[in-house]
Formats: sequence, structure tokens, C-alpha cells
Amino acid sequence: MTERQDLAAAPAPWSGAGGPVPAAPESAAAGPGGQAAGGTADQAVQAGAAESSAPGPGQGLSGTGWPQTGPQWQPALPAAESGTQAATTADRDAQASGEAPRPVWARPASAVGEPQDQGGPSEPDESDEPYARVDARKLEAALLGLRKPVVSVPLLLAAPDVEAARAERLKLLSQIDDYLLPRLRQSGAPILVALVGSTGAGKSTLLNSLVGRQVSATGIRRPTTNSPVLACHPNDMRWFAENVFLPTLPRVRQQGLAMPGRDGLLVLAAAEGMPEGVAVLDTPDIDSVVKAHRDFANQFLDASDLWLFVTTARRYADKAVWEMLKDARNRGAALAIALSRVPTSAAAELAAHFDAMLDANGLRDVRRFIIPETIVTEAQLPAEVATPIKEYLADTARRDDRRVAVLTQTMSGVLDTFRERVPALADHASAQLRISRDLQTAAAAAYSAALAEFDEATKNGSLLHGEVMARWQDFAGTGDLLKALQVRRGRGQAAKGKKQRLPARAAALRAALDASLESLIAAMADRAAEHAVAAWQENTAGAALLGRTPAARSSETGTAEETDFVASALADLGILDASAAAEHPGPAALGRSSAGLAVRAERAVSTWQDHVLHLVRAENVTKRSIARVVSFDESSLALVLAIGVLGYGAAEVSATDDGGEPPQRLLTSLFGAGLLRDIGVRVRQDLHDRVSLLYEEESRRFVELIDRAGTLDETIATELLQAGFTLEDAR
Amino acid sequence: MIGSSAAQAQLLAERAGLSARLAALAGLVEIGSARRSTDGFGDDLLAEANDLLTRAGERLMLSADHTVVALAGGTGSGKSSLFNRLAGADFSAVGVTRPVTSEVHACVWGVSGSGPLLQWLGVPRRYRYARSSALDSGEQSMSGLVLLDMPDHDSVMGHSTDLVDRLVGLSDLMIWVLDPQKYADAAVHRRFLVPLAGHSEVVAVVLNQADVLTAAQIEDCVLDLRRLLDSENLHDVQILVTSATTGAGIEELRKLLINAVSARRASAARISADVDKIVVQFAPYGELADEGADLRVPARASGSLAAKFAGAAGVEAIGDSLRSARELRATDYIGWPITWLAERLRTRDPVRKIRLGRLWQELREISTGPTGAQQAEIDLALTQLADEVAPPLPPPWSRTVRAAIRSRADAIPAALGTEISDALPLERSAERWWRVVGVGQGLLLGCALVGLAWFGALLAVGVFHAGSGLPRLFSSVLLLPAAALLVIVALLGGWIMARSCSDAVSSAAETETRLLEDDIRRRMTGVAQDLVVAPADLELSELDRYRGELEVARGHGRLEVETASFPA
Repeated sequence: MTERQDLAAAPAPWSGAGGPVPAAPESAAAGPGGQAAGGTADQAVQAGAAESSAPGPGQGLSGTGWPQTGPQWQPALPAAESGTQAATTADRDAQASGEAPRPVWARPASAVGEPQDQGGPSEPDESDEPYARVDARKLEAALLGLRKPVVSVPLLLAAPDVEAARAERLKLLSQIDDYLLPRLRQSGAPILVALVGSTGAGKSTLLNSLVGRQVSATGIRRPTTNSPVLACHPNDMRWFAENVFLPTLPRVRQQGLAMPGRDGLLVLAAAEGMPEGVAVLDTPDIDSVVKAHRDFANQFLDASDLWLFVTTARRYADKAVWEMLKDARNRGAALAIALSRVPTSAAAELAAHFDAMLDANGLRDVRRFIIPETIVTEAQLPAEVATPIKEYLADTARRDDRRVAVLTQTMSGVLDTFRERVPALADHASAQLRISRDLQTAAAAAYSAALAEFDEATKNGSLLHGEVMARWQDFAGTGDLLKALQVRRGRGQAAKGKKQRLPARAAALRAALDASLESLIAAMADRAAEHAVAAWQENTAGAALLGRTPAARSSETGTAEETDFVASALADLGILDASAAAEHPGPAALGRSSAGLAVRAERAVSTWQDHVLHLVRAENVTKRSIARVVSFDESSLALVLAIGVLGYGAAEVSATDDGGEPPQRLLTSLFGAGLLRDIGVRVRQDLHDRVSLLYEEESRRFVELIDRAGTLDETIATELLQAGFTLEDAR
Repeated sequence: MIGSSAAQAQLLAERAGLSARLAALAGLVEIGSARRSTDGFGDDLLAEANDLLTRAGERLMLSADHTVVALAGGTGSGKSSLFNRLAGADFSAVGVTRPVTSEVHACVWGVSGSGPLLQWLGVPRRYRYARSSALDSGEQSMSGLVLLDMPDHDSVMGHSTDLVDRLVGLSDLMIWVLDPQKYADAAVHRRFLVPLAGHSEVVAVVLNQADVLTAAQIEDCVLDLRRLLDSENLHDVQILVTSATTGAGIEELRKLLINAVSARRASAARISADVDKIVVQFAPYGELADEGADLRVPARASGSLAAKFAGAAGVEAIGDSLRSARELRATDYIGWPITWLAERLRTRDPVRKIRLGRLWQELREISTGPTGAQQAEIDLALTQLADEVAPPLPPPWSRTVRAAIRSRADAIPAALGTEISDALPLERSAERWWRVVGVGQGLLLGCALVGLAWFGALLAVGVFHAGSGLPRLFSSVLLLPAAALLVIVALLGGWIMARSCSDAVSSAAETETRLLEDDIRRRMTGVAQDLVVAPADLELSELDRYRGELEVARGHGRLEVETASFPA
């Protein structure tokens, strides 16, 4: 397939490190960046010399083969980095001045024999550099140690930023699992270059050109690439075929020509055209309407060693492009940028503008290529256009210093970000605990407020209203009270005294008192539940907990599985709890007292009445008080006592004959103020205790709701921080 | 310039319909603003609606003869090239480095009256271009067109995105300029096209730079673009294929503009589509599970509420207590004294015994008085009513109605107490006939005593001859039976009178109690109506009004919108 382009194909004199790679050591020193380049040449030589004694890939990380070189996994490798910088600067200068490209990367290799020691300035720095050798095993153990708490961070409550935290957790895990651990365990694996960039930038075309045959589908439809294609030399295939690289991703080996893979399937293409030691991954776009592609691309970026960012002359000012580039810069990933589809006529202008933008965004040192708008044949760019990039990649793979520089930069970049991200995750973990505590406190506060109101209502006499009052008036006013208190004489009276039934009016009064107590309990419980729900609704996590009905929950996990291919792995790890919750009360049900409360309240009140009766008997009130002169019907006495205690405040108990209401005065007369106060306190305390138990049971529904979401490990934040320190220590 | 009078009449009718819809929307906003909360009528929605109302008001006030057409698109899609093509002059700069256009440019065909409109759009004076001279040269049909060349929305120069957002909101017709490279960009679809769903009538999509593709590729591309737009609910959007470089497709684009301008209804259609979109967001708050439901507190529910109030106030207990008090007090008058005496003698009153005579008196004096009701029982009753009335209502309303039901809960116990005390009869010490009966009882007792004395005298004088010289009346033994009879008759009469009178008192008290209970129940109903049902009904009537406004705002039956303002 041939894309008809505006412009005829043109060789690229201004393209990056194009052309063959002759050894020209003096050109670097002679270039405009001579001083810097010279300074780094020496370091590069040292590194190169060291490499000559280094064992092959695969053992490099153990540290045994590096008798005297700088730290491999240090955040910064001075020699390699400054080398890169010098090279790019020189390269850039060459482009700007239109000179022929200079083979910067070839220089140190040829300079092995004749080290030019003119770069004094940076040498002391290097010698002062602490050569902390990194033990890969120690680092791996530290990473595994970090991974465990990261996996088990309980991000269960829907805090406002919990989604971000969950995503961050997934990202951390994917970086550890997909990149750091495989890279540590298999340091000899090929450098993985991710081709990322805007849709329509020609990533697939570039890949085909690098490989030399069509391995990735190209086309006019956007986005074109749905399934990523990984191209590498057949000898390198073993690194990717195993379940080591992106273990969670299903893959298929490419047979024959490029085929449209299914979404989310990694296509492995072995190609002789690829240089050994480097693998190129064609990723889906970052900016099309298909959001899954963006997530997909991000996952690959986390797993790759070098980003080759491709954008076009039309797009290079897009916001999406710069967001991605800034992300790369912030995480310190090794990065190269290709500006493609550049009209030949405006190439210089565009290149200058683009470079200025790179500068402004702190990406001055990034290697940049220009791909002209050209005729695409067989989904490939003309060979001379793709060669600079191919050379660059091959060179990176071939030369150990470059290789180490790239690997170090990216890995250190990732590990550097852990310094802030792990504590941030720990903050989320503690935030979860705090929210859980806040929610529990809110529920408990609602119920303790209800209990306080209940106490108040039983103290201030407001209970003695309505029906209770009317019944009391009926009972007391008609003289039934007096009759009830009367001495019962006659045969058998004493024997069956305990079985006496209350007179009808007393029974009605007692029923009214019971009913009013029960409704007070229920009303307060209702109010507490309502307040607790309202307080929870104000909290996003609380609202989410309340809203989480079983149906909503199952759909939640359902969509998670659909959209997130990492989720399946996480489900195995037990992060996404697939087990459905049991019957779950919605906010409407929680906003009321529980269904069983009425029965429990009734039981509580009646046992309390029994307790009052028991007190009346056990305390021998009749014997200890003025009432001893007559004998009373204990049930009626207990009822009067209950009315007196509940209906009139504790302060009034001490009232003399003159003050207080009739029942109170009657009681005072019967029992004496001191005894009455004593009994009153106990009676009220008993009621308080019973109701408090009821409310505790009610408030437990809220706690259960939190518990049902999962258990929150209190130590996880500390563990995370600890693991973070251990990791820093191991580096 | 002006079409047939019929067309104009339709235009006017359309505008009137739109005004009615906007007024209804204002009504929705007003009702919603009073109930703003997180579960409905969020601040965002209300702000958006207010924005629309302001914008629509302003737009409708400005030139109706002009149609604002915006050329929008990503950086590098060729908006400025198209703009220059259409304007026929290089007004807007084009270039290779991105982004090029950072300010909005406007080209006006037929300048008169467009000044305030351009001012409103915020087009800088130096970027306004006039094509009035071109009107003479065959572009008369484009008179009234205000063509905007917008800055891109997706470049890193973030300052232009706000401008684009604003202008996309203000323009009457939006033409999205896409190119083969960027036509599927999330930046344009997510941010602009998806929110414009339902605006198909005032949106057109141009696939520019068609010259870089072959015919087959163009077809493929347009097909894919159509699929994408369909998935975004922009079904009828017109897709034009143009090339600003070669000039292909420009004529179709010009025709589209001419149609839009000559119909002169794009501005109304745009606002109408905006109203449609926002009304959809208001709709859930006016949805009832049962559409035919009567929006009032059901009579059955308010009846049961009144019954619960009566229960909470203890109406039955009050009745019992009144009856007891009547009977007890009546007994003092009409009771048989012998019984009373016998009681006093037979039983020892403990209270009296422990010298609590005063208390005894007090307890006897407790009869009926205002009692009020317990807050807790009232609360439960209100909760129950709210649970019955509120749940079928849409989210914010179920809450506000609940709140309305409880709005005066604190005042209810006191109100009930006042009503009960008003209902209770004055404490009458005694009925007149009780006194008469009391006198009768006294007389009968007197008779009995007299008879007893007589009997004693007869016995003493007549039988034992204790005295002499007494009249025969006191001495005749024969009169003994008569005296005994007198005693017996008097006592029996007293007993019978007490019995029958207490029956009468009972039945009178019964009647009085029933009347009282009925009265109190009626008063309870009144309290429930005044303090609970009325506020709830008021809130429900607001919901009813809301639904009415919603219906108007939806434009049902009010605005006949033609399916297309410009031919496809």
C-alpha cells in the first residue's frame, strides 16, 4: 500500500544520527560543544574500557564483572549521562548548521586505544562518586518486600481520591512486575524500546521500516493499531515468549504477514532485520478516542527501557503530546523523539520550533530525529529515512555503555519516583484508616447523642405527657391509686399477694408507660440512624458504602474486569474481592432503626419494669420507709415508683412535701427522700444501661458495613514506608 | 433579504415557542435553586442552566439577521485555510509551525447590525473583516453570515481553550474541521463532540485535507468517521469532504452556509438544542414512578396521622379519665350515704392513716387537664407518614417533602395540648340535678333517720313504756311497722335512687366522653392538617409546578422544529 504524499521523498540530510557510522573521534572534540564533549570522552573511554572486561549480558547486574566502574543502578551514572548529553548537543548543533551528521556514538569505541585525557573538570567528580555497588538480589528482595504491602494496601473506602490511589497502586505493581523485577532478574534481556505517540504519527510504519518488512498493520483509519506488536531478532524471542515479560498479557506469535490482532493481545514478530539485543514495541496511540489504548500504551511504557516517542509536524503542539513527554521527563525514562511527516519545505523551521519547545520543557538533552513526509511503500519508509533511527537503536543495543546508560536511566528514574509515590500510597493507606475511624465515630456520635436525648427525656418529665399523663390522672384521680396502696386483708391475701393482678387503670397506665418508653427508644434510634446516614452521606466514602447494594457491587466488579486487564491478575492476588457481599441494607433501611428494634425495646422495657419491681422487693422499701406501717401492693408501688422516677427530675426527688408533683410527694412521703434518690438513680441507670445496649447493637450495623468492605490493616502504612526505605537502602 | 411573510411568521412563532421554553427553564432553575443539594439540583447543573439562560437571552436580543458560524478544530486541521478560502482573502494567517491561530478571527457578510454581536462574541476589532463589498458580486445569499476562525483547542498554548469553550457555546452553527490524521482524536471528541450530542442540527463536520488521500481512502475515512459520530449520538451530522488546498468541496460548504444563513434560524435551533440538552438533566427530578399519581398527601395517610396524634395525646385515656372524674364527683352527691359510711368504717385508708390527708385531697382533685403529647410518638408518626409519601418521589423531592413534613414537628405537642385543653369541658363542680338528687338523698336519709328515731321512740314508749304522756304517735305499738316501713322505704329509696342516678350519670358521662373524644379527634385532624399535611402539600405542589415547567421546557407541543435547517 502506498500513501500518496504531498511531497516527494527526500533524503534526510538533517535527520538525526543518520548515515553510516564511521569512526571519527576528532569530530566530537572539534564540534561546537567541544569542551563538554571532550570532557565526557574521557569518561566514555573509561566506561568503554571497563566494558571490554565485562562479561556478557546476563551477568552484568551481579556486579562481579564491574571491578571499578561507577554504580550501575545509581540514580545517575555520570559518564553515561553526560555522554548522552554531549552527543545530543553535538548532534543538534550539527542539524542546526546543516552539517553532515556526525557519528557520535561510534567515537568512544574507537577511542579505546587512545584515551584523550583532556576532560579534567568532571574527573574529580567522578572519582568522588561513592561506588555503591548494587546487589541485584538485595534490590530484588527489597522490591518484593515493597510489593507485598503495595498489594495489600486496603483501598476499600471510596475516599475522594481513592480511584487515583487504586490506579496508582496498579501502576506501581505493573512497574514492579512488568519492568523492575524482570529487568533485575534478567539483566541480559534485550532493550525494550516502546514506540509511543499520537495516532496517525506513523508508529507502525516506522516499526515496519526498522524491521524491514511489514509486521504491523498500517492504514488510514484512526486509531490503526489495536493490538501491540513486538518485533525483535529471532534469537531474542526467548526473552519475550516466556511468561517473564508482561506476565499478565496474553500473546501470540506472528505467523506470516501483519495481521490485525485482537485488542489486548500482544503480537510477537521475529524478524531477521532487527538488530540483536533490542526489541521494538509498537503500541496503540495515546490520544485517540479509544481510552483503552491509552491505558494499554501506559502499561507498555511502564515496562519498557527506552521510549521512542513519535509525533508529527501537525501534532507536535498538541497538549496530549506534551503531557506524555512531561510524564517521561518526570519519571526520568530514557527517551528519544521522532518528529515525522515533516514537509521538506518547512523542515528547518519546524525543527527549530520543535527544539525550542523541547528546550522550554526541559527536554533539551533528548535525542531527536526528523522523518520527512515521504512516499510510503509497502507500509515502510524509504530505507535512508529510517536508517538513523535503526542505527541509533542498534548502537544502543550493541554498546554496553549505551546499554547500561539507558537501562540505568530508566530504572533509576522509576525507582526515583518510588521515593514519593510509596509514601503517597502510605498516606492513602492511613487516610483509609482515618476515614474508617471518622465514619465509625460519626455513627457512634449519632447514637450517643440519641442516648443523651433519651436520658434527658427520662429526666425532664417530658415522658409524663400525652397518654401516660392522662392514664396517671385517671389512675390517681379516681382513687384507684389509693385503693392499690391499701392494705389487703383477708384470708389468702398474703399467700397470693405476689400474684396479684394490677387494677385495670393501673394496667392501662403501665401499658401507656411501656408504650411511651418504647416509642421514645424507637424515635431516638430512628433519629440517630438518620443522623448517622446523613453524616455518612456527607463523606464520599460513607456515601459509597451506603450506596453499595449487592447489584451495584457486582456490576462494579464486572466493569472492572472488562476494562482493566490487570484486574484479573489482581483478583488472583485477592485485591479485588470477587466474593459478593451478603444481603446488604441500603441507605433507606439504614436510615431507620432496625426491624427488630421494636421487639428488643419491648423486651428491654419489660425487663426494666421487672427490675424496678425487684428493687422494690429486694430493697425492702416498705420496711425501710414510713410505708412500713401499711403494706402495699408491690406491683402498684413499682409502677408509681417508675412514674415518679421517670416523670420528675432527679433534682425534684429531694423536694419536700411542699414542692414537686403529687406522685413525687407521695413517693417522698412513702420512701423518704434519701432512699428515693438512691433508688431513683439506680432505676434510671438500669434503664440507661439497657437502652445503651440496644443502641450499641443498632450502631453496629454501621460498623458492619465498614467491616463488610474489608478489613483495614493498621500497620500497612508503616510497612509501606519501611519497605520504601529498605528499597532506597538497597539501591 | 426577507423571505415570504409565511416563513417569517413561522420564524416568529418559533422564537415565541423558544421564549416560552426558556421561561419554563428559568422556572425550573428557580424551583431547583431553592432545593439545591448534592442529590439533585447540583450547583453545576444550576450554573449551567443559568449560563444558558443568560447566553440565550443575550443572543436572542442581538441581531437575529446574523448567523454565527464557527470553524473549530484541532491544530493543523486547516481551519484558517478554509476560512481564507471562504472569505476569499488571506485574512487569517496560516503556517507550518504549530499552533498558528491563537485569536479568534471573524468575517462578516453584510455588516449592518453585526457590531454588538461581534462585541458580544468578543472578537477583537482588529480581527473583524467585512465582506460587504462582496455582496454586490454575487455573494448576496451569504449576507448575514458571521464566520469565525477559532484558535485550536488542543495545543499546549492553553490560553485558547477557554476561548474555544466560550465561542463553541456562543455560536449558532458549529463546523468542526477534522483532518485524516487527527479525526479520531480524543481531544475533539471527548471534549466537544460528545457534549454536543443532540445538536446534530447545528453541527457539521468537515474532513479537510482530502487531497492527501485517495478516493478509496476518503471513503474509508468518512465511513469510520460516521461510525464514530454515530457512537457519540451525533447521527444526522453532515460530513463534508473538502480540501482547502485544491478547493475541492468548498462549494458544498459554502452552500451549507448559505442555507443556514437564509433560514435564519440556526441561532434559535442552537439554543433550542441547548435547552433540550439541559432539560434532559432536569428531567429526572420531575419523574414519578407512577406518572398519574396525585401529588398530594393521600387522605388515608393524613387520616392515619391524625389517629396517631390522637393516640399520642391519649384521647382514650383522657376520655376514661373524664368519665371517672364525672362518676367520682357525682358519687359525692348522688351516692348512697350508707355505702359511703360503710366504706369509711370498714376500710382503713392508709394514706389517711399516714397523715397525708392533704395529698389525698390533691390526688382526688387530679382529674383531667391539658396533657399534650410526647415528642417521640409524634416523631414516629411523622416518620411513618414520610416513609409513605416520600419514597416514590424523585431524589431531591423525597428529601424536601420529608423535611416539609417535619418542618413544624416541634410545635405539634404544644398544639395538641392547646387543642385538648380547649376541648375539655370546664370543670363544673356539679350538675344541678345532682344537687337535687343530693338533696333528695339527704331527705331520704333524713326520713330514714326520722323513721329510725320514730321506731326507737315507739319501741321505747310503746313497748317498754319508758315514758308516758306522749302522743299516740310515739306510743302506739301498732305504728311500729309503719316506722320500720318508713326506715326501710327511705333506705331502699336512697339505694335505688343512687343506683339509678349513677346509671344515669354513667350514661351521661359516656355520652360526654364520646363527644369529647370525637371533638378531640377532629381537632387532632386539624392540627395534622395545619402543621404537617399543609406544608407537605405545599412542597408537593411545587413538584407539580416543576413538572409543568418541565413539560413546557421540553417543548412538547409548543415548538414545531423542522428536522433539518439545511438540506443534506
